[in-house]
Amino acid sequence: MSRATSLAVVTLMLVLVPAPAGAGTTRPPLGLTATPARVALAGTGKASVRITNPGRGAVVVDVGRAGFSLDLRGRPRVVARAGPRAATAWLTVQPGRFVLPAGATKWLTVSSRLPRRVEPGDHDALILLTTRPWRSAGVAVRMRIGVVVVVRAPGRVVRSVAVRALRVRRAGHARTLELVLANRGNVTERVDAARVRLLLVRKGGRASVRAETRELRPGTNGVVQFRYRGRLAGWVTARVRLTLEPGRPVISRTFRVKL
Amino acid sequence: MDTDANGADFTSAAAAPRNSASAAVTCGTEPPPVGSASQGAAVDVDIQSVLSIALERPAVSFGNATTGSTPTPVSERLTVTSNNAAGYSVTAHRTAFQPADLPLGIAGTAPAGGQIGPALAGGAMAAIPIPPVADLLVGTTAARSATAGDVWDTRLGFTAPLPVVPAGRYTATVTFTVIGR
Repeated sequence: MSRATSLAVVTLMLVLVPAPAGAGTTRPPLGLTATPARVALAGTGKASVRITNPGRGAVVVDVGRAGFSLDLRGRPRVVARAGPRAATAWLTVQPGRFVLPAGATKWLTVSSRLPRRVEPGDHDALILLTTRPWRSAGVAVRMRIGVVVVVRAPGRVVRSVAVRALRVRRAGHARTLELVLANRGNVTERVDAARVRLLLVRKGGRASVRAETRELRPGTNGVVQFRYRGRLAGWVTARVRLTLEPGRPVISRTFRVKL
Repeated sequence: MDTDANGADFTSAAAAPRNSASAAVTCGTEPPPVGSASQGAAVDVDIQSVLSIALERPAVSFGNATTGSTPTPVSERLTVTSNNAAGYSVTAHRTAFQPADLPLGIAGTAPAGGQIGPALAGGAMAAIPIPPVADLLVGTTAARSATAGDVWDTRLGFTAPLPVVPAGRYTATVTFTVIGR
């Protein structure tokens, strides 16, 4: 019996076998969980990812690799063409396909092998876990989870972020201030409320606005969003303070924006 | 002083045994503490990042439909659990219907704290793209999910009346993708 046929037989058997007792009351019909959802590897190395099926039925999971990027506002994307800092080709994942009965767990091994010549710093890729659709259905629905893998290549780490601009975007009553940053270093930077602060000052009032957390891949520009629902309106002075890590110089910029 | 003569060093007295029936005697001073010490026990746990997706149903059927009609959308709730402080994004794409394509779409609302994708704003039914066109952004969050997961109340339907196509059974596959931000 071929590998594909035996997998199909096992899948059919698992689908026909009822889920364990007590599993059906709160379990969703179909589910998939990955932990950790983000893997960091130091150069050539290995890590394990735990895949669990919290659903009521068995699932067949296909494992693949893909390029990873973040759009200007930090939303992740699956990209077919690998960028200059892609680690896609360096990764191997085992197993490449498996059957996961209801409530069962499987461990994946993610391995990275660096090429001889590689730029120091962070390189990333996605491990895509995709469930097989139910072929008998009219419109079959399948799930896909992207596990982000960041591989840090050895060498000098450069951390450098520049503050480029601040602009205001309006949607109804809500105003979103968008701070444009450029990561000129070679490692992924996490920007959050502890690292970047925004103070709005106007005659007779001031407000501190909290940054939304995001990551900024090396060599890319990105927008950090601050949602403001306060009373300040009109032209204000906006003071930005950015600290990448404790002990490093604070980057300060002042802008004039109209709320 | 010990004189090494027991008769001089000791005197005899009547025995005075004591038991639980004897009168209680209060100690004059606090007794010294019994050897006590306090020591903190370090407790730690590493919480791993987690990302989970669950579907309301593994397949959607629109039943019998006729050319020129727009079948009623069918609910397909997505439940996403994530402990990533930056949140996650949910996107969708599909395969073309076989044997001929039909205008499949999606509408939905975001959970509390989530932001619905621009194409779905205001309850609009947006077309689900077919690769190589980029995925449709269903929505994003910018914080950890609710403990029981964020429920994206989506519905699969059609963006236009069904075109004139041969009678028969039409099938396609929709893929929902979730990635931590």
